[in-house]
Amino acid sequence: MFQGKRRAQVFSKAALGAGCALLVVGGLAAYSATAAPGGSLSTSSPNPTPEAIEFFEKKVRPVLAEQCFGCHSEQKPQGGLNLRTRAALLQGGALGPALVPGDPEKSLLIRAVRYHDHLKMPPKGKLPETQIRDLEAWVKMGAVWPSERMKDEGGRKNSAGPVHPQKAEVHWSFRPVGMPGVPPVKNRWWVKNPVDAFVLAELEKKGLKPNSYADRPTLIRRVTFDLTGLPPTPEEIAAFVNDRSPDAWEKVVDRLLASPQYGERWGRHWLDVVRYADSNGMDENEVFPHAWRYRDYVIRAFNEDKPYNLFLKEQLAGDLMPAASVEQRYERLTATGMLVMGPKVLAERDKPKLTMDVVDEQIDTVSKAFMGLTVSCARCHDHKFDPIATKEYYALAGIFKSTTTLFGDRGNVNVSGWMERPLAEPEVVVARKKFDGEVKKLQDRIKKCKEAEEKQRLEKELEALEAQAPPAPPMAMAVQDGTVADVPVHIRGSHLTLGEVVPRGFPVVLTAGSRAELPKTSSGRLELAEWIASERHPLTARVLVNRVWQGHFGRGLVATPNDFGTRGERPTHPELLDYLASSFVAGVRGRGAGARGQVTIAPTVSPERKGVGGNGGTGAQIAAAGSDLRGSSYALRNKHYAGGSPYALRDTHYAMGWSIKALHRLILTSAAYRMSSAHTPASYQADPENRLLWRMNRRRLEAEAIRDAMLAASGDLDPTPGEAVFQKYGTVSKYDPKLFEGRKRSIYLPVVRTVGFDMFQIFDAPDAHVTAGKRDVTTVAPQALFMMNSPLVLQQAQKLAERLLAEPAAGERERVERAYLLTLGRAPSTSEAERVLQYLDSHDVREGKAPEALRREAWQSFCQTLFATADFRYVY
Amino acid sequence: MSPKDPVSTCPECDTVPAPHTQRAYTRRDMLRLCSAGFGSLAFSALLAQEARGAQGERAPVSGGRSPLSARQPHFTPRAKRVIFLFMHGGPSQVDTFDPKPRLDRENGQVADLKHPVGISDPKGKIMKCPWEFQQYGESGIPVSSLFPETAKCVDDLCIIRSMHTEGQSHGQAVMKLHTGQDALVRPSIGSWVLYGLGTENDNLPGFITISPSLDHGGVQNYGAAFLPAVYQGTALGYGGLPTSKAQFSYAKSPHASAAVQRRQLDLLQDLNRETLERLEVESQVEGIIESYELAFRMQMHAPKLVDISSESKVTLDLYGIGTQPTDDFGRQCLLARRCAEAGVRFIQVSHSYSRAVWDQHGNLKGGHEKNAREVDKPIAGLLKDLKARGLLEDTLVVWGGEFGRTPSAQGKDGRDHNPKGFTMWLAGAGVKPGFIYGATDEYGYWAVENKVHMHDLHATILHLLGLDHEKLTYRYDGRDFRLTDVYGTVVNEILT
Repeated sequence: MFQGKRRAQVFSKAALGAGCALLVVGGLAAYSATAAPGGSLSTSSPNPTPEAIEFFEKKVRPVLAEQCFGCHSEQKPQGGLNLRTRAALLQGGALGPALVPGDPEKSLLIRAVRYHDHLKMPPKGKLPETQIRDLEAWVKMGAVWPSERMKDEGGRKNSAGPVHPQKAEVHWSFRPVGMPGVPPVKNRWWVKNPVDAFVLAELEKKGLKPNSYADRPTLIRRVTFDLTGLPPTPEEIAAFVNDRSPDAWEKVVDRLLASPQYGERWGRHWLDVVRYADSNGMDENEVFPHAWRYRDYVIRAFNEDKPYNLFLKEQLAGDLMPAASVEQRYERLTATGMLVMGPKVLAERDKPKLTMDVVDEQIDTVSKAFMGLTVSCARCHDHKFDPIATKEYYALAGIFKSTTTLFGDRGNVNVSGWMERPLAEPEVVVARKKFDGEVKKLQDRIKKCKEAEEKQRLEKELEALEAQAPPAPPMAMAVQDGTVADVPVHIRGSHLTLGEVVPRGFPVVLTAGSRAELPKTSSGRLELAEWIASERHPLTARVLVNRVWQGHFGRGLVATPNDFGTRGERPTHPELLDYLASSFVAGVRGRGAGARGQVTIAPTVSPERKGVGGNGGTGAQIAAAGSDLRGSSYALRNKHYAGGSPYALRDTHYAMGWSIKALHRLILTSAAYRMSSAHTPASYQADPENRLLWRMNRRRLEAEAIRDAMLAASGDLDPTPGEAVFQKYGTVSKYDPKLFEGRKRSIYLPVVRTVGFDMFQIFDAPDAHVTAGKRDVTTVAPQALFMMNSPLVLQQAQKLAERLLAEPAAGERERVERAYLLTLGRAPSTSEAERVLQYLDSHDVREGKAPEALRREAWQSFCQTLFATADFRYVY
Repeated sequence: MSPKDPVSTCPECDTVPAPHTQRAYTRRDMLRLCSAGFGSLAFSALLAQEARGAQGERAPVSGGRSPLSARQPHFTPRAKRVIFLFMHGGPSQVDTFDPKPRLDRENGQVADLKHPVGISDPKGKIMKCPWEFQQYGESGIPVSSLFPETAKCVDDLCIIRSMHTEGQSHGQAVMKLHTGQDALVRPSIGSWVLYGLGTENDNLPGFITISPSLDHGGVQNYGAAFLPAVYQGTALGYGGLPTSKAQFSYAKSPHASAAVQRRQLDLLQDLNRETLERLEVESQVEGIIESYELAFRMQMHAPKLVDISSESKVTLDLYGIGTQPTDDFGRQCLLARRCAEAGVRFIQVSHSYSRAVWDQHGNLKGGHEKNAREVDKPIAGLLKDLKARGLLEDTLVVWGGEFGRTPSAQGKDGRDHNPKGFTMWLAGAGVKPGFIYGATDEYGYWAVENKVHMHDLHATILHLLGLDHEKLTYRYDGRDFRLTDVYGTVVNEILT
């Protein structure tokens, strides 16, 4: 037999070494004494000595079984290596034979366990020296392995069982998105739209009742913060409270969705997901002077309601997409900044490693952000929990490795630079380059020049030249395709141990088996983008819909927004998730609608269902309303559902055409969204975490919203859009409070990795080194210290006090009421008002200060107190 | 304080009791309340009620306990706290604690050395140590003349000569040292320790880093990454700022007196309690109310921690405070001792002045000499002071840089980075005193004998604190993370 022959050959080679080996190996005396007389030859024969077998069984097999078989078995040969049989060891894996009997130095197995080289096994820690010596001795003795008959009984229970692709089909999020029908409910009068039916059905199953609606001041504060990150003004509150029209709520929602502040709010959510930053962080905290263009691109995309599939494609492959205009080309280039702005260990001297680290960072971000998948685990080993094999990781890695992200250096050969591309036509770029060259030449001449007169002349010349400087082309962080090549598997993630080359491609589990051939002439990023942005992709829409839901309810239908894998949480309302996801991707929007920020929600009702039930006109009316692009263009009149029969709803689906605004509108016009967050003992008892949504969740405002709300209340907020945050290249290492002093909205403050705005850090803004699907909500003493003592809070309190004192008011009580409206969006209770008035009064008893100064001081102190309250930082 | 001031303060510590306790409390109650100050194990306050959001995980401690409450370690600890003396830049092992006679013999010769990837000057000639080594103490351990004072404490040191790590550049190696990871953002070792053990003093942060370096990862080196933010280190000053000016952020009240701020806080807490009544059940609001009380107390205690005016002249002299060039680092070390006394769990001191000061690519002699003079006496002072106060018994002191330096010269008279073999030492709780472990090769370049990887050191530090590095995990992104990733072995050989 082939195997037998091979074994025999190797054995004869091993025979020579084995005898001497026994003499040198310490700690083996008992075995060598008995094994040696049997002759080294006998160990290499098909009938090894009992002593050698005993040594193997006692000292070697248990180690292999315990430490190695988990990853190196026939079912799961990591790195192509199976360690369960001698033949398999001899055959080896991607790195070649693992065993050279008789020669530990040449045996990869031994080198790996010694931990001397790059290959270190087992990965979780070096074996004890005694075990290593046993393995060495075993190899030296010729690697005796008893006949296959005894094949490892011990090993089987240790193999944890890899995830097989067929198993993966079972996991909910890898299945195609369904189009579930709207479930029937008992309390149909509560149902405003299909969302409510899904929520209510679950509640009714548990015998729970939804909370009643929140009052109007609470509602408008909730939805205004949700959509714009700002508090409603007292005037907006009054308008809504006094609006008796049946669509008062829809009017508020539409107004907010159309406001430019919407993009600043939801753009910020997206920036969390793509770990946006204006500096590199890590070891060399180089600033990214052009990152802001990507930030503004994101804000624009949300405000224009760019279809999400297009938004996604532009960020992944905008540089490879055709463009209808120059502006669109620049826009699409800018979008790919997402791939460039990750943190990189720029000073890594091992540049091939750096390249692969960058690729890994991109894979990690892209897979979590768009697909809610943790793919990066597979860099070193097959994913332990999700069906992503190392090979598939490197199939993706090939796509990103074929893309240029790093470029040049930062003036020090050890510190790498990154890709930036001009947003200008070649002539402009060339002209500027020529100009820069001339300036440089002149400057050099001036430097060298010793003659005063000549120097003066040259300086004048330089001045004249600079006066005619052609405009510097605007730059954006952006990628371009590089050398297109497939990548070999990097065994244990190291570029020093390469395995087989894997053709570029996508994870099999998500492609339903079909394998796309990627072009030889481009990286495959565009194909990757199209695959992820496909309406048939099982994860993309679900993940996005979940992010939007989380933005409105504080918790996603899936509580782990970046992990839809087997280790992530399961959805609380799987049908609702699929209903929203399928509605989200259905339909195509007209080009004009998106650009004007107008959206159609056109529910598609099966014709045979039309007219069924008590509210037969529903479908037609909605469709009509939806196609009206002139006015309230997200029009989906909820009143139609108020008395609707569940039969009318059952087959209602929406065709949102990837419109995020349409999705917002559907969610926000539900009854579920309008529930109060009040404590209801019976429901609380049954579902303390509110997983089933019997009430609205109470939510802490994000760091940015807390700051913006203070500035908005004091009247200090500059509502104009921001610009570049860093004018020049360079590094930031020290915390610089001046960077964060601006009065524009928080999204326009620099996001400096490592030394970010301390207020934001204190209030749980994400680190910006990694994608953040969801923010922490902590309540810690440093937050209290910040509200008590920080210059920002004191200054804003002072401004608010000045504002209040300057405004005409009937009396102090009315002034207090105004302060409450500006900060908390509601009037104070009687007891609150009295407590505050007493506080303001008590300031007057202190001596030595002018009454007017004392009054200002008292008001400032009171305003600071309002900012510091729990109510200020919570929405209910 | 104004005589009209209606608020009474504690005569011992100026603490004003919480308003809801104020009205009914007797003087005796108040004294009890106030005595819960430095070093107190009493846990009256909940620092934080937190709901971990990141990936939907639950807070590690539930049921209303603070995530910072002291927790039982996995097994009986040897050390209660750690002081880590970080020598930013990478002190040279062959010039400090790892003498190599072969360098003397082959000085100036071209050597055929195996270099790590990325070395700048692979053709550099052998460069001998410009300092003399001498044996010290009963253990007879050799120390170079760079550290004459520390050498006197050598019988307390447990020197690991076989350290190795990853990262040829500072950033990587510094992050590896602090977080166990060189290319990803991971929680700092101090955050892991705080997460594992909680704090001993609820009036102060449990993880304090004094004058931290701003470079090479900066805040990440004491950041909590995906652990709840309560576990992140609190900086006292920063590298480059004179330690005499170091303060905790936002701990200084703008108010004329504590009483004025207390009165404002009373208003705030009344309003917050009304909110709580309205909401009926809301742990977050309870947490906010408590956070203000704690902040108020911290504001009282933090300045005292930093104020060294009560220290005797003898103590100040011991640390070299008041004389140059030891004043600044001496202050850092003294603050570290004060933190240790106050029950801070993880204390870091950094010799960096905002940059990698030990990074002598050139002028090794001048640079290392200047650095050593700045730190030698303060380090010895700290060790002696801890010992005299009985603190060395349950405090683990760790000394070292992110890597060592090459035995071959870079340029004329410098040494390049060397993560492949270098020295760190431990002292105090649970480690063998006057002990040398491991060895580098004959040139002092590569660790060869009883190699200790950075992960192994981390595992050992956790072990000394009573924590099993394989069990101290945190679920994030669907995976249980550890400080030591999937590596690390406790170095049992150095434990007493």
